[in-house]
Amino acid sequence: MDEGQRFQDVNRLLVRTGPLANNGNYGSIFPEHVPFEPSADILPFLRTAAQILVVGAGGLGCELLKDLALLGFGQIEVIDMDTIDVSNLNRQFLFRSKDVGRSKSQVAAEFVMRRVQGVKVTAHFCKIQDMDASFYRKFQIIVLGLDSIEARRWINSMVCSLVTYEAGPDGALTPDLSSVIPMIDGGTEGLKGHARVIFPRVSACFECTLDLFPPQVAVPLCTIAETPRNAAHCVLYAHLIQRDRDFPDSPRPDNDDPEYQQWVYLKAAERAAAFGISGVTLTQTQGVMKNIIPAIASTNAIISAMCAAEAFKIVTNCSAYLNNNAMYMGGEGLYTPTFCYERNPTCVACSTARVELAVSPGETLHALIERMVDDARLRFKAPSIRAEGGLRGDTLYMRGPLEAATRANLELPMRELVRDGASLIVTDPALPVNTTVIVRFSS
Amino acid sequence: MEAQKKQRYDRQLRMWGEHGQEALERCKLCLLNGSATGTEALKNLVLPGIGSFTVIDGALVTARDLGNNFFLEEADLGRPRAECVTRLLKELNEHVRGSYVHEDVGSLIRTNPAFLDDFSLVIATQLTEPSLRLLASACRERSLPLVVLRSYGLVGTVRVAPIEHVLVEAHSDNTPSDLRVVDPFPELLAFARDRFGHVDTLSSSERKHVPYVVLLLHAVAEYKAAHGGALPSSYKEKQAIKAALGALAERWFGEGGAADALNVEEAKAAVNTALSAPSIPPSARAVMAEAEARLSAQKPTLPPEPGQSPTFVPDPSTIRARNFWILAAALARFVRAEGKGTLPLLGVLPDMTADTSSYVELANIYRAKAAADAARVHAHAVAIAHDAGLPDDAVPVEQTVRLCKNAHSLQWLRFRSLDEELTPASARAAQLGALLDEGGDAPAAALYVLLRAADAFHARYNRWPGTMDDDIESDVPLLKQCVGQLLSEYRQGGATLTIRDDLVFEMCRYGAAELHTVAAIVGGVASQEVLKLVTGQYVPLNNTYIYNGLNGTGVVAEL
Ligand SMILES: [Zn+2]
Repeated sequence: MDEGQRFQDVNRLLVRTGPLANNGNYGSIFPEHVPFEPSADILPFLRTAAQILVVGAGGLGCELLKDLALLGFGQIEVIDMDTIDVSNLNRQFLFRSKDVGRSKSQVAAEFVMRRVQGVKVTAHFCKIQDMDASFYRKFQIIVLGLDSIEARRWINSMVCSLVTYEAGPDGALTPDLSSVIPMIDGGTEGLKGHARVIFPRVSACFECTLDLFPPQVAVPLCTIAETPRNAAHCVLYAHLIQRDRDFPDSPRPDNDDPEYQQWVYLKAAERAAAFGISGVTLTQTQGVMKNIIPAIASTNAIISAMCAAEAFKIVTNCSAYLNNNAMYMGGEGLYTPTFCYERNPTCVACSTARVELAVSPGETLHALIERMVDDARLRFKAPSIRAEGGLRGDTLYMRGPLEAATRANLELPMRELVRDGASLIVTDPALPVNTTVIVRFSS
Repeated sequence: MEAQKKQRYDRQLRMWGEHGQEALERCKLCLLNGSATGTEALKNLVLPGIGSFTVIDGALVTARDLGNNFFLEEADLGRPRAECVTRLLKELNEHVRGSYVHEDVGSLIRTNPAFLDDFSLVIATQLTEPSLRLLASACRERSLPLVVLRSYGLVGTVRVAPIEHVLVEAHSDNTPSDLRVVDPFPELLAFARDRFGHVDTLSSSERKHVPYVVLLLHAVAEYKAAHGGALPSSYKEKQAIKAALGALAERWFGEGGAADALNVEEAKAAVNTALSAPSIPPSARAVMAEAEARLSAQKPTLPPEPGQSPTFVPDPSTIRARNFWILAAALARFVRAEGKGTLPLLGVLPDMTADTSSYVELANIYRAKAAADAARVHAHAVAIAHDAGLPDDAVPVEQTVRLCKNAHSLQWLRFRSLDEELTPASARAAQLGALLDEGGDAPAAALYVLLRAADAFHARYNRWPGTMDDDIESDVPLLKQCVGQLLSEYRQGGATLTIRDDLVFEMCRYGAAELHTVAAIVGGVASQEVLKLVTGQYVPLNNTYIYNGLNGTGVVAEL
C-alpha cells in the first residue's frame, strides 16, 4: 500500500508549511532559528532512517510504541528488563493473559509489528545499564517511559555524557548540537503526569531538577520495632525485621513473590491484632512492600502521546516544541500548567563546573563517603574513590576485589589522604560516568 | 470480587475501590464514530473494565484509517469500521461486552434519537456542529451524560457535558485536619484527663510519647483558663500557643533537651491547622442547601423507584444521585441538630509520635465518635427516605459512612449546555477574549474559535478547509470569512476578539488531519473524565480542555 496515502494525516504537516510552522521557539531553546522545510522526503526519512529509542515497555512504553509507529516512525528500538505481570493488564494494552511471565519489550515489539504494517521494532530485554555509550549514541532521539528516579538519573547522565563541546570564534566552549540527543521524559501517577523535553547540556536536564524528587523518608526502625501505630508499621515489621529473624540463613525473597507477600500479610495481621491495630489487608500489605503507584491507561495515554508528539516535532521540525515541561493534574478538575525549568549551573550531569564539597580536614574518608550517599545532590549508592595526587597513593577506596586492600583508608582523616583542592574521581552505580568532586578543606 | 479480577485491576482499585469498580462495570457506553479519536478514548475504558460498549459508525475502513487507528489491521480495508474496531477493542479485556452498529451517526441522530435510551453515557467524536447540537439536546432530554472530543491537526478539544454531576469522594490532596482540639468531645477530654492528667509525674521517656493531640488539648485548656474562656484564633494568639508548648518542653526536658522531643515539634507544627474551628466549605454548604430545597419541593430527582411497571429497574447512577440528595439533606439536619454547626467527625487520626497503646486508644476514640456521628446522619436519612415513600433500607449504611468521611468535599457541579456555549446570546465571549491574551503565538482560545470557523466552513462548502492538496491557499480567505462572521457574533456578546491571519493559515495547513497523537491525548483526557463521571469519584473537568499541539500546552475553560 502507498505509504503516503496511509500516512496522509501525518504528511499534511510534513509536506505543507505556513507562517507558524516557521515560527518555532528557537529563540528560547537554541540560539539560531532553523526554518522548517516542507518536503515529501520527510516521511520516508521517518520510515527508514530516523532511529528512535523508547526506554521502558510498561504503561508509558506500550503507548509510546503505538504512538510512534502511527506517527510514521519506522525504526524503533525498545529496552526493558521487566517481565509481564497480571497487574499490568489493566493498562499495558499490548499484553494479554497468555503473555504473563514473558519479556515486556519482546511482546510489545512483536505486537506493534503485527498490528502496524512496515514498522520495525527491535526489542532489548535487559537493563539500561547493560548498554553502553555506543548503543545510546546511535539514536536521533530518546523517549523515556520510566517509573523510577534512579533509572531516569542514570540515562540522563549517560545522554549528557555523549555531548561533545566545540570552541566558538571567541574561544568559548559550546555544546556541539549534532552530538545533542534530545530526550523526552514522561511520568504518571494516578490521574496526574508530566511530559518534559530535555536537550542535554542545552536546556535543564533531569539532574538539574533532582531536588523535585526528594528521597523518601523511611519510617524509623525504632517505631517499627517498638511503637507500631498503624497497619503499615506492622507490615514493615514482618517484612524488614521478622523475616530476617525467623529465616536468618535463607536469602531474602523477591517482593513480588506471592507466597512471601502472603507470609508478610499473615505475620503483619498477627502483630496488628496483638496491638489492637486495624487495617492490615493483603492489598495494603503489597502496597507497603512494593511502594505501588496507582496507574490507569488514560493517564499513560495522555502523557505518552504528549511525549510522542514532541518527539515527532523535534525530529521533523514541523512545529514549535514544548518549552519545556507540561504538567497534567486531573484529580480535582483539570489543571495543565506549563513551565520552563532552568538549568542548574552546578549540575552533576550537565554542567562543566565541577562539584565542590566542603570537608573538615579531620573528617574520615568513611564519614565523607556516608555524606556523599546522603547528599541531596549526589545521592551516591556505593561510591569508589580515586584522588589525583593522593598523599598515600591515588586509590582511596575501591569496591570489589580491591576493597580489602583499601579498607584501612576509611578510618583515616581526609588531611592524611589528599591536599586542599584535590579532585576526587568518584565511580558509582547510580551514574554511568565518573563524577569529579573537589575537596575544599574548611577550617 | 473474584481474586483474578482483583489482581488484574489492582492498580486502579487503589484509586476508586471496589465500589468504584462496580459502578464502572454497570456502565453502558455508546461511542459515536470509531475513527482514531474514538477508539483511543474507548481503549482506556475497555482496559479498566467498563460494563459494555457499542460503537456506532457508518464508515468503511480506508487506507487513512490504517495510518492513524491502532484498532484496525491491514485485512480490514474496505470493511465496516464499527465492526472492525469493536473486534480489536474487545480483545483488550474479556470481561467487557462489545457490540457495534454499522450506521451513519449523523442520520441516526436525525432520524432516531431514541437509540440513546439504551445507554448510560455517550462519547461523541468527530461530529459536525449540526449533528453535535442535535445529539447534545437529545442527551439532555434524557439526562444522559455526554462527552465530546475532537482531533483536528495539532489541536484537540474535550467537552464534558452532563447536565449536572454530584460527587462524594473528591480524593483531594489536602485532607482537612479534624482533631476537635478547640471544642473537644467528652470522650476525647476523658482520655486526656485519665491517661495524661498528670503529665508532670511522667518519666522523661513517657513524656516524649504523649500524643501531640493531648499536648494541644492541654495548651488550649490553659490558654482558655488564662483568657476568660476565649479561644486562640489570631496568628499572634496561635504563636502564643507555640511559645507555651516550647516552654512546656523546656520544663520537661531542660534547656536544649527538647530537641529530640518529636511530639512537641509535631504539636507546634499542627497549631495552625488544628486550632481552627472546623468549618464547612462553601461547596458543601451549597450541596446541603440544594438538598433541602429539593426535598421540600419534592423535585422528581428524589424518588424514581419501581412502581410504573414490575420490570422497571432504575439506572444505578440515578439511584446514586437520589441517595446523594437524601444523604446531603440528612447531613444538613445533623449539622443543625447534633452537630451544633459542624460536620460529622472525620475520625481519622494522623500518625504521630506516641506509644502504641495510647495511640491505638486515641485512634479508636476518634473512630467511635465518627461512627456515632454517622449513625445519627443515617437515622436522618432513614427518616427522609421514609417520608418520601421509600423503603427504610433505600440508602445503604456504607453509603452514609462514605458520605460522612467525605462531608467536607461534597460537590454539586452544573454544566453549561452546548446550546448555551454555541448560541451567540449566551456564548462566553468575554472569557474567550481573556484567554486570547494567553498562549503567545498560538493562544488556545484562538484555536477554539478557528475550530468553530472550520465547522462553519464545513456547513457552507461541505468539506473541511485545506483538504484539496493542490490548492490550500485559496481556502484561507474563505475560512477568514467564516472567522469574521463568528467574531461579529461574539461582538454581540460584548467582546471584540481578533484572530491573526497566520493562525487561519495554520488551520488550512492541517486539512482536518486526524493525527494519532492528538487523538490519543484527547482520547486519554476524555476517558479520564468518563471514569470520574461513572465512578462518581474525583472532580470532573468543567467543561472544556483545549490541547494546543503547536507548542505542547493545554488550557482549561468553562465555555
Ligand atoms: Zn543538568
